[in-house]
Amino acid sequence: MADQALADVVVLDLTQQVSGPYCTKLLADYGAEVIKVEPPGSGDPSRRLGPFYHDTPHPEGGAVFLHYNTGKKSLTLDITTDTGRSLLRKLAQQADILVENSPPGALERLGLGQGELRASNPRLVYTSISPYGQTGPYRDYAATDMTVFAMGGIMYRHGEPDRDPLRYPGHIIQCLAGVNAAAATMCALLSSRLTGQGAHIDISTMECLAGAVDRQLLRYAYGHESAVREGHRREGWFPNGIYPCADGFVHIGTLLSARGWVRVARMLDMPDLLTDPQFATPAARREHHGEFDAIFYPWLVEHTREEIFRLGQAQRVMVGMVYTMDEVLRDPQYRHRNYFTALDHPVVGQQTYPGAPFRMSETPGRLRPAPLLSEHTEQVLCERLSCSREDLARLRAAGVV
Amino acid sequence: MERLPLTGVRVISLTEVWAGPFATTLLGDMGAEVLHVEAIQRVAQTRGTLRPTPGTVGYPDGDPGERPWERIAGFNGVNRNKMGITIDLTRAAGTDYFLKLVQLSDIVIDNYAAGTVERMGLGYDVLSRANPQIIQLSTPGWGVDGPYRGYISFGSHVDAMVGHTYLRGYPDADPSLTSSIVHSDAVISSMAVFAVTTALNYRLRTGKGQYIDMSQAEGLMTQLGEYVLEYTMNGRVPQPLGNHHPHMAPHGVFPCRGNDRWITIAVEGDQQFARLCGVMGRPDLAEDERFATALARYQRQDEMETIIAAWTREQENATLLAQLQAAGIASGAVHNDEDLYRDPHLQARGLFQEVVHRQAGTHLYPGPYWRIDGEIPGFRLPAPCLGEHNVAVYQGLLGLDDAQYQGLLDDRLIGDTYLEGAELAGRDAANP
Repeated sequence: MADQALADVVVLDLTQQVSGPYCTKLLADYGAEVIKVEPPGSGDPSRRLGPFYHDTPHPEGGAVFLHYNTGKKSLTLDITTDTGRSLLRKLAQQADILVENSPPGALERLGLGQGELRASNPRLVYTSISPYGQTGPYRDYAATDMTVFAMGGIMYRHGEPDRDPLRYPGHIIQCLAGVNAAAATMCALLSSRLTGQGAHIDISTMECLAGAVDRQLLRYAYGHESAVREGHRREGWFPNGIYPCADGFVHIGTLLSARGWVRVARMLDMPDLLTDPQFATPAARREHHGEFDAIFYPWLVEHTREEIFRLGQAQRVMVGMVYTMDEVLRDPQYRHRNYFTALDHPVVGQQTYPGAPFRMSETPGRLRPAPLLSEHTEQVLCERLSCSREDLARLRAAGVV
Repeated sequence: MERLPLTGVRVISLTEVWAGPFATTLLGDMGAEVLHVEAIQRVAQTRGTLRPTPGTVGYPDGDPGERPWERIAGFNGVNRNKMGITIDLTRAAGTDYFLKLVQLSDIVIDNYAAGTVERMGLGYDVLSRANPQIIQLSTPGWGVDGPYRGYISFGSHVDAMVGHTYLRGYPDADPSLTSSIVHSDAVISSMAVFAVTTALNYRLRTGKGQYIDMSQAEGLMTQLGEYVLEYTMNGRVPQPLGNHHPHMAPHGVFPCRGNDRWITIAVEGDQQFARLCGVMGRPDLAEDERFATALARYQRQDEMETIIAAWTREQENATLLAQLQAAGIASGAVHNDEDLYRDPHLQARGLFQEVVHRQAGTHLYPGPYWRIDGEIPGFRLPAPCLGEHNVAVYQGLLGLDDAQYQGLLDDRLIGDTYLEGAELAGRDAANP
């Protein structure tokens, strides 16, 4: 098998839920050895999140855990005990990267803060992910995906102007923090490789939202007016938005320019539109959008989603089909690229997962199933810390592992 | 920070609109030297129209000025910490200079439609001949091969085709009443940084460059894994929940005093619910059998939300936020732009930095936000003006003398002002 890009990277993973696990999943899928430290007995609380395989709650059968922990090793270790902490410090001395998403300050209180661990391993990159960051007045605020989404300023923009703002589904905001963390961590790792000096990376989910490209916050500084919820179609950028058609919905985007309008007319096969003074300029098209809709909606309902996708893309009109998850799984593009990946797991059997997020020509991503709780405890302690069988038995009896 | 992490790494940014340009901005934040490539023959989409009407939103105080393409928030807010150069890549001489830069660079990133860089003569076969150690990343909406090769998209079209759009809608409305908001660019810009730094780690070990094909759809889909598995494991098609949650209740957004003011509240378990009732001054609700258990609260969440909304409606969301957080209840005010700029936490952490832009003047910009050893990397360079760093790159880096440089200007291979017709040409090749 081909080499993997991160085959020489050891990651100590103290994360739970989704933000941290998604970060370390990315590292694991590209070859890093990720040692996930879980509390003995219960493990990562995300093991208790549904949906579950066959709707039966089981710590090895939750979709969230199965997906966000591919390719990791599970080590159970009680880091609230002296022995557990001492083992963790030894592991940290061998690691290139440590990722944690505990409440800010919690690991420091256990003597496992970045200052201490980096003192004994100066090349360590210690990455902290949290809703609001390691400093500042909101540092200790309680948060969920939705509440930090609201604070980060994107929620205000999402939804209809005359209705409630809407959150994004699932755990996708934690994932946004996770991918930011993975990127920042890799930058610091490269620097550590060259200089021998690690770093502490502090990723705040709120800042990943407020600072992100889609937030376009500078418009406020330039224009002094807050952007509003635009709703399902944008004024003046047209046709643009989600439209019903014969068998579902399509998202269509056109550019403001003359060329964009020509392409729309070609997609519709209505060359007369180009000579119609009602639609001669962007301003005229804005003014007469009702007249255009009277032409456009009947055309839409006479065409299927796929026809509109093909006709639009053939004329370089941006079109996407609004898919449900079953349709995503059937889409010919993802199938052609063998994107979805089947993995065997001892409890849930063979299931289909999203594949590696990008393709590397020399060092492809490779998914391996999520670990059972404590599956690698013995392996990690024996291989990395040279524990003997007697040591292990003693640790087990004391409830440390 | 004595040394930024990517000091010594050079990146060529052949990108437009959001996902690609912001990826190279993030690399610039981390210390890479980024060369953002544009052309005087072709106006990039986020540079805007060349003669906008005064009063148009997006320019400082609505004033487009003499050079509106250098005063537009949509470009200036996305392209910090990079140098701007121009090259006409439709001519062989331009491609030659591009390849000279490739020889001196580590990473080339584009976000055009699949096949575009190959048509420019800048595919990986060409680039890797010029520099075997080069890392090239292309990130079209749906990847570089397959039946959708060459298809164009904004992030919102990618969102639609991974199921995000469907799942983020109102549960009681059809998808045509879902907003046209865009999520994938925020994800892909960071993921591209992760991908190229991963490749740099491999190159450090082996000396080998490589090619990275990043389908924006496939990248984003890795953040919807539980939905994919819900379908593949259980055969169930996930449906939008709006602001509700699979098991937490109450979990939603509630109106507050003022126009379009809101607070989100998420409650898990009996104890948190009792604390919420305490903050509301309604301890009776915690005892009320209608809401006594998690299941009861889940089943009666509409009823419960009406009661909570009656309470929130009378108060400022900032006041509620402080009260709820003091009681340890997960909650967040729904911030708009003005709220963010005034937010004491973001100010304390230094998200905004005052920056002087040669054409746009002085403003507070959202800046780098990956903190290293407690510090924010600097906002070293405002978004470049068109061709602003041509001298630094062509003379400083490539070593052209004054006469050679003048030759490039005379040939219009480079320049700092758009040529006639650039606007019309500008709309064709992009796959933002």
